[in-house]
Amino acid sequence: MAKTKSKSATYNPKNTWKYDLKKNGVLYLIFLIPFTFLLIFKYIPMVGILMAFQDYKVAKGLFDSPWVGLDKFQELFAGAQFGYAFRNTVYMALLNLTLGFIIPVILGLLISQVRNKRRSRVVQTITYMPYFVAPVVVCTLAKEFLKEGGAITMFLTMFGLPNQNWLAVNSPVFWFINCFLGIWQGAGYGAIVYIAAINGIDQNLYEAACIDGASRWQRLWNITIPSIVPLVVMMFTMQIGLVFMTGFDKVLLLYMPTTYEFSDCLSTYTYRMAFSSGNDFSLSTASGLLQSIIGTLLLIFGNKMSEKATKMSLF
Amino acid sequence: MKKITWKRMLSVALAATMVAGVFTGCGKSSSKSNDPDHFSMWIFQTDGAGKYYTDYNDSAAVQYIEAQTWDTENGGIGDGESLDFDFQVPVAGSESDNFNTLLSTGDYPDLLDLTVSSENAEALADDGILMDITEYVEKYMPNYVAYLEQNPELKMLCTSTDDEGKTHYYQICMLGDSVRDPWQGYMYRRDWIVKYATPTDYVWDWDSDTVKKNGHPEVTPLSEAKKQNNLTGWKKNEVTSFSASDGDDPDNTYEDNVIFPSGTSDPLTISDWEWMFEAFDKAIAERGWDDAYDISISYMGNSTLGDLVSSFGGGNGYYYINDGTVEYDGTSENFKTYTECMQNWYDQGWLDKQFYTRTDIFYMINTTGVSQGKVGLWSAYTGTALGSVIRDTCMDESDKEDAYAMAAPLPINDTYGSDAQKFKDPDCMYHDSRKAAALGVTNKCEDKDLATLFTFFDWTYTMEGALLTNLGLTEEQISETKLDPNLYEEYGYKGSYELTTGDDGKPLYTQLIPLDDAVGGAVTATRMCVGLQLNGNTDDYTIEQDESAVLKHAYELWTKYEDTGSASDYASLLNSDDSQTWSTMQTTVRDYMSQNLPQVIRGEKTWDEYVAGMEANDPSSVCELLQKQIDKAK
Repeated sequence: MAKTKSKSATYNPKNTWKYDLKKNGVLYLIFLIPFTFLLIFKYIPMVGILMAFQDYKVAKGLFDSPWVGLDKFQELFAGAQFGYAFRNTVYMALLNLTLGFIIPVILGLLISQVRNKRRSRVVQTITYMPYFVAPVVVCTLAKEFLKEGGAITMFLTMFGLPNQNWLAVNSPVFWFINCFLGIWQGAGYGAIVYIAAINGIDQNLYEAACIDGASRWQRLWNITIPSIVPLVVMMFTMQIGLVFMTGFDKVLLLYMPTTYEFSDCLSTYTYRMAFSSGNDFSLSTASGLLQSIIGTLLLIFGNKMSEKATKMSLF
Repeated sequence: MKKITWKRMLSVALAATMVAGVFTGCGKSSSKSNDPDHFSMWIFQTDGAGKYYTDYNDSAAVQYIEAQTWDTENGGIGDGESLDFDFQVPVAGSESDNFNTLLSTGDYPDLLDLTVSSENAEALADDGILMDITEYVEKYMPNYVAYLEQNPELKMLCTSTDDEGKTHYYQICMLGDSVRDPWQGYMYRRDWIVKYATPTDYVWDWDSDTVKKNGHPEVTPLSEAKKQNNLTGWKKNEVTSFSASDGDDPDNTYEDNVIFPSGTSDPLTISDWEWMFEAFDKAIAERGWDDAYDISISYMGNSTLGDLVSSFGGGNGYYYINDGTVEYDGTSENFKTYTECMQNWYDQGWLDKQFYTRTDIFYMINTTGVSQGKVGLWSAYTGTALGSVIRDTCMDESDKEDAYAMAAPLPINDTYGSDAQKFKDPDCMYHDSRKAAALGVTNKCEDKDLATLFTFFDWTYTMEGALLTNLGLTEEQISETKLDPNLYEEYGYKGSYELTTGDDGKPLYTQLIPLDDAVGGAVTATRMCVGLQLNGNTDDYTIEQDESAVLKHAYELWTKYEDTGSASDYASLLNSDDSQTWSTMQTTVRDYMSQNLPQVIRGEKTWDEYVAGMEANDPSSVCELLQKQIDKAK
């Protein structure tokens, strides 16, 4: 009797993997698709990280190229432009993380406050459409608008600013141009997730607040914003991890040698070092790895900060 | 129940079909690839481009080649085996990626076009990809070997020498019979000269003893000669006003009476160019354009290939071979003089104020401005703006009537710097290498019929083979061959060329398919990367192409000076490690130049500051890498 009792306590057929597989087989099958995708296209290629520690030769491949330790990192750091590129990347990342992050949130809040649903949808559509415009088109437009005599340049002259090619100005103005282009292109699309979250807030809360005499602002401040804070924190933490790795295409299309001091970022610097006069895949991998490590560290740091400040975290 | 069973069976069948489809390309190679006379070949690009055919085998010349048998004993077409080629062409824009992927996966074909290879042929052979083909070349390619022996400068680029002094062949090069006509160069608005330039009262007197002896008057430019009251070598200009006539066909019949201060009908000196700029200024002012200018230069401030930089005593402001010695020229007196001239042009408003923001490649700077007729002098493709081409796109109504662009040779400095920088022929300029392409034979075809393959290769270095690969089939050859598709028949051509005797008694090969007709490329086999490239600038024969008079004149002017100082050809000979060092330094130097040289030209930085910053990069440290290659070639 005791034996039977003991067995029934340790063995429950519903706890076995076979039972689980039988019950949730279809779910596992569906999971298999993204799992295979991630495995093949994200995890297996990570083997390529080895190239950062090799003098990689295409002909010799990954396993026969000679090992060079940290030489490629040393080469990366020793470049005359590395300091500028690193500094610019940091500043552009900070701008993207502040202005670039907060504006989609504000836009999401504003759109959600439009009472007429039709107008709300029109505004939402107009604001997220630039997301689907190719960066090369965005940058070509920016060049036209910001050149001497361009539409934006002429508009700025009304405020006493000079009529000049703003992209040729060797100053931090490039960081702001890059950031605002990112906002113009991505704010509408970024706001979608916040609008969706706001729409999901229990309407009873608003009704109750109305009955209590809460103004529109009070409802926004005391119901809407607190309700989306977890989402904002999650998005911010994820953004921190990626912020160091973005901007290559726009910067490459917009910058020019005379503004390298303020426009060059780690990706474009690596691109020139690795591919302008030859093909140095190892150097490129070393730079990518460096940015990934920094991104991961920032992600962990951001998550910890978020946990401390708001008691909410991703992991 | 039955319905469910059927559904299941159908699902299984569909899944099986998909799996079979996925694995279709795997497994054993086809029986064709086991044929010793079948060769797979990766080529950089095809001339059919999907318009005339999708498979390069359908090129008329390739079809002809495949229809022949090759005599390995006596060479050329004769009794023997025939060859069968299978071409792989990458998607345009991904050539380099495709080539690298093939190499890194080991799935490369028998023959490789080495155009985009980041490693030289010797390095690829060291890595076990390419074969050392010395034995086959020496045995089956007597024409190729002989041609290289007659042209040691080409042999140096196409072979390697080991420590014991033995020559090794790791690649087969397509060799130009002469330097190819340039496809780009400087052009200027001749019509603006006719309308707005004022003939100078004196011009160089080419019949005077001074000019005959020195090549120039005692004092130049004219303003300085007048100031010093020394007009020795000058004469009164008989032309007091300019006029032009288009004729029936402007590109062939245009005439004018323009005479430059140097007494020639084409610009010769820097002061000629500055005289033109004054005329361009008047034209631009009359049109009231703010965004027009006289001349632009590369956003970097110079062209590292030389060109205009070389006009100031020679050199290229980069890596330069000066009397057989490689030196870094970016801090030299010649280069300094160039920057002084550019500074003056910038200050005078002749040089485009936005030059440093126009990041297009040097032969495409502001193509929109050029075609709108807003630029006085520029560098461009031959076909894009020469002659009357821009009349259709000019903004100004009067320009639509008579805009006309003519070529300008590189000028000779007669104005800036000291005597060492004056009246010297330019010696560095862009030109196509006579090593036009290269082909590697991979270890995949070690067991194949290489004797027949190399016999065919050698035939392409004979006139018969070169004519076929470069120009296509004659009427007689077409009649012997069943072409499919028959592009000649489809487009109404009886043959690609005809042979006559020219006025000079030399054989004259006249192309029958116009150059501007892409069919011309589609019937040849130049993409096979072997053989003689027939440019026709030789003493032995002439290739007559369908070129306008203005274009022919442009070729004469653009090839007026010889490129003897460019070092770029030697960089391709560097081994893998040296190449890496060289590349890193090039990037550093270019980065520095492109950021700082425009500042010197714009007067924001002094020359001394520029030099100090450049020397901190130690650009001369890589000169010895190239010097080793040059010494080896000697």
